[in-house]
Amino acid sequence: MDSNEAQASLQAAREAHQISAPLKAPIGISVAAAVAAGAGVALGGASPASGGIKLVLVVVAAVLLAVAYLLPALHRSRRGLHGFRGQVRADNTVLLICLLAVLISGLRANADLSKAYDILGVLVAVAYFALLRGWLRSRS
Amino acid sequence: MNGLIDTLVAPVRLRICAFLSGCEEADFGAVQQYCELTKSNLSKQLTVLSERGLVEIRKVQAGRYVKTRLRLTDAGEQALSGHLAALQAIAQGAAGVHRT
Repeated sequence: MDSNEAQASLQAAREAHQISAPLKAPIGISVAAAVAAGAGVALGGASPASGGIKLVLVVVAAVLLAVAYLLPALHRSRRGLHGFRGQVRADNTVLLICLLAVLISGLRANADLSKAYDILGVLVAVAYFALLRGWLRSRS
Repeated sequence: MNGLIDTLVAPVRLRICAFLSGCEEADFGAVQQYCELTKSNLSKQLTVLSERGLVEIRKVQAGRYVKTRLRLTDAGEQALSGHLAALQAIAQGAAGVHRT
């Protein structure tokens, strides 16, 4: 095998991996998932007067974040791809830990921090949309 | 010896394994569609990969249908990783050109 053949084989292997590995979704699902992720983060940092309402908002935020993940994951599963491995799995774990940290920090958010969470929500929505459209590539 | 894995020197088998390396499991149909192979051709390639212990094939019930799911085994993952490293070395001209 010469270096050109090796290069071609490497390229083919990279392309095959890039088709099956990422959590990519069509535009409709990407928009819905990104909005859910952004809203989830923003709601997680909301600071209503009542503790009961806060609890409800945290639960809704957790549900929205789960929806944000499950929508593209279900789409991927319908395409015949199940589960993740390698770098993408590690990235998903990091993402989950970050979201948990954001939710837990949001439990003690006051009015000022609540505004920061709104901005963070917008940033998360934009970044997640870019990720689902394949504009942000994870290392693999 | 340049580290290439015999089974994966065939481009189609390399593509199958690389495709499976991105997910825990993939449906037979998804692999067939990506690799643009006929059912019988893909089955033949999978038989080879399965006999070498690189790919695991199992049947799962999906509603009224039985689906065939494919998974790259740990040995398959290691073999693929070693093969890609060897290809990288050859591509960079750092290894010999002998075929194993």
